Amino acid sequence: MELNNTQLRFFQHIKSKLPDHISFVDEIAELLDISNDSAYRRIRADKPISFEELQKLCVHYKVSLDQFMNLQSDAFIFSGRLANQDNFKLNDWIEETLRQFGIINSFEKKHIYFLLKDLPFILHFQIPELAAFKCFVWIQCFSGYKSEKEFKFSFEYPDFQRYYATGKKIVEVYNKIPTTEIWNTEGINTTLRQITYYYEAGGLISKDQAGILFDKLEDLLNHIEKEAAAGQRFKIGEHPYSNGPEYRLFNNELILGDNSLMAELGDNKVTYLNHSFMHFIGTRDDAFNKAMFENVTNLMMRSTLISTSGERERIKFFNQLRGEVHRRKAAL
Amino acid sequence: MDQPGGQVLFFQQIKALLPQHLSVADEVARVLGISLDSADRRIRGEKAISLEDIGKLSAAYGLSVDQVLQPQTNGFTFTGTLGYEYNDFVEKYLGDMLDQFQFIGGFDQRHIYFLLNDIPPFAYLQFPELAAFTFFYYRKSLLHFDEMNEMKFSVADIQDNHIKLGKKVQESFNRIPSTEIWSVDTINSILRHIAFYRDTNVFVSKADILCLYDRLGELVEHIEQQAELGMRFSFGTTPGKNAASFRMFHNDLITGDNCGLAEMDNMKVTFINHNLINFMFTRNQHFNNYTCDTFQNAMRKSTQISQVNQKARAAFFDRLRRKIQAQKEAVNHY
Repeated sequence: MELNNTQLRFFQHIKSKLPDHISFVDEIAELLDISNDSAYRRIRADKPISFEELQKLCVHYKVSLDQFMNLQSDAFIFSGRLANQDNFKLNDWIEETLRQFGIINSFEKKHIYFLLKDLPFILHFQIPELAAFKCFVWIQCFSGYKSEKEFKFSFEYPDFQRYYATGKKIVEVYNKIPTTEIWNTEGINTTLRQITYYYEAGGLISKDQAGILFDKLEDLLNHIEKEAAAGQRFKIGEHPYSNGPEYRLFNNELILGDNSLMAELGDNKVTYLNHSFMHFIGTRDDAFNKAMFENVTNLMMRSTLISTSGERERIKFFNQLRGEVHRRKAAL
Repeated sequence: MDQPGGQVLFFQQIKALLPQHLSVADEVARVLGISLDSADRRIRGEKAISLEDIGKLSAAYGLSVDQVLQPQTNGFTFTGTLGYEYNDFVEKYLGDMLDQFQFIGGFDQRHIYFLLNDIPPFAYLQFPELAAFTFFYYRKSLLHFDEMNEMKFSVADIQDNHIKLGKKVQESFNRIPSTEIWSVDTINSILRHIAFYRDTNVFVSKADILCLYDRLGELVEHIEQQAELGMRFSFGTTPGKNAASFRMFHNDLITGDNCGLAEMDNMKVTFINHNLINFMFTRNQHFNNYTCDTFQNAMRKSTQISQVNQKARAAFFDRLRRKIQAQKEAVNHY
């Protein structure tokens, strides 16, 4: 039988990932459901492994064959759950978001960098009316095209309290994580357009409701301005507490972000990219995260810090946002 | 040996990467240095492929083995470029784009969808001044090349080789039937970039700024004409009888993310924009079907403004023109 060097190296690579006390042959035999003798023959590369065996081994031992074989494929593995669009459950999405932020928060050394094109979706959960509206939009985006699932907006519709309760937990966790957000004055446009859309086009929200939503959006902006001034996150209606996690807010006048998020977890990094409106896929790929971090760092260097310092720029920035809210409200 | 379903899938992935005129058996035989018969037996999964041969084939076609081996629902392999060098950025960027469009264009059944946050870069390529500005912006403000630190922009700085290559990319794109979902804010990015450079004295002269607004106005008018006819054609020409179809939708509910989806015969590829300038793509079927559903959903929430809905189309493009005009007037007061 022809000696298969790559196969030999492949098994050596797997072996190097295992603790010394584990019998390598037993492990392979059990995983591939073959005899110890058959496992030996594969490990010694006397018998080629099948594609299915290769698949089992790579998945089980988390081996990237691209990296192992130095393939110049420029490939990155992302992971994420794709909700079933026919049976989308918003609560599952909110619970998953809470779980992800819980993981980030579980690290002692942690930081979130958020490159935003919209207001961070989490922040809406601080104000029930805004939370009710955003949840309504998300449901409509996924199931609204099925006419039987359409419903008229109210600030208290079935299931909302469930979403809101979990959403508030996300805010609590998010507020514990040191955060850097890069905004642009266009970052509120999506929410503004959505309010106008459902008022004008769909008739699904009333003029009074639209007016309340614009007012509540302004309340949220006022709170974020206070957080930026303090350089800390804290609950709406409360005051910053001592030794709270750092909150940095940058205004980048040139670039509108893409809602991508980078999390530092201890010495590792994870990048989450936004796709399909509201979903995220994440990668721990070192090269990808390095490029992402360099990009975020470069953007920060070219942005204006409007948290803690930069009072004049901060007031101007938030006045611009408030002005846009007033303009939209007046146009109702 | 085991029934090699994964192996068959591996060869299917290679086949999907080949232009239609190439036979997968010929290619496998050539790369592995084996007979056509041996190649066929491997492709059919009758003979196991060795790890060496997997490596050779993957390297030859830039195929990610991880993508084939780890197709579980929560894992998706994406492929893409992470960085560029200053000297050959434009050539590489446009070259990659041309490769993608030519590959898609090689299929009988083809369609490309975009959910736009910005005007797509290839739209600028038929307007040399806008193309030159876009490349300048990418290098200075997205890639942050040190060489660009003190550099100013003038429409006179157009490089002929870039324009030639750009036109080739744009013509290649025009051969693919396409669907684009826009919002009135899709034009904001380029307006913001021009305004920012205006305020930070990056332009050589006021005439450069006004020229860009004029070209942008022409681009908007050209897109409107294509939308009206529902066909793709180059600026300054009329659509040929085999012109690719163009569908355009207006959506103010969802902010686009510059995501693209290409459909080629029975295959789909999703392109995701990341780090503002880069694109990565996946052939993961599950992910692509999901993206396809997302596009269908977005279209249901949108107003078609190509071919039909003349009033809505006119109103949409009027809003874009008014945005350009407002910026242009700001220059006059500057």
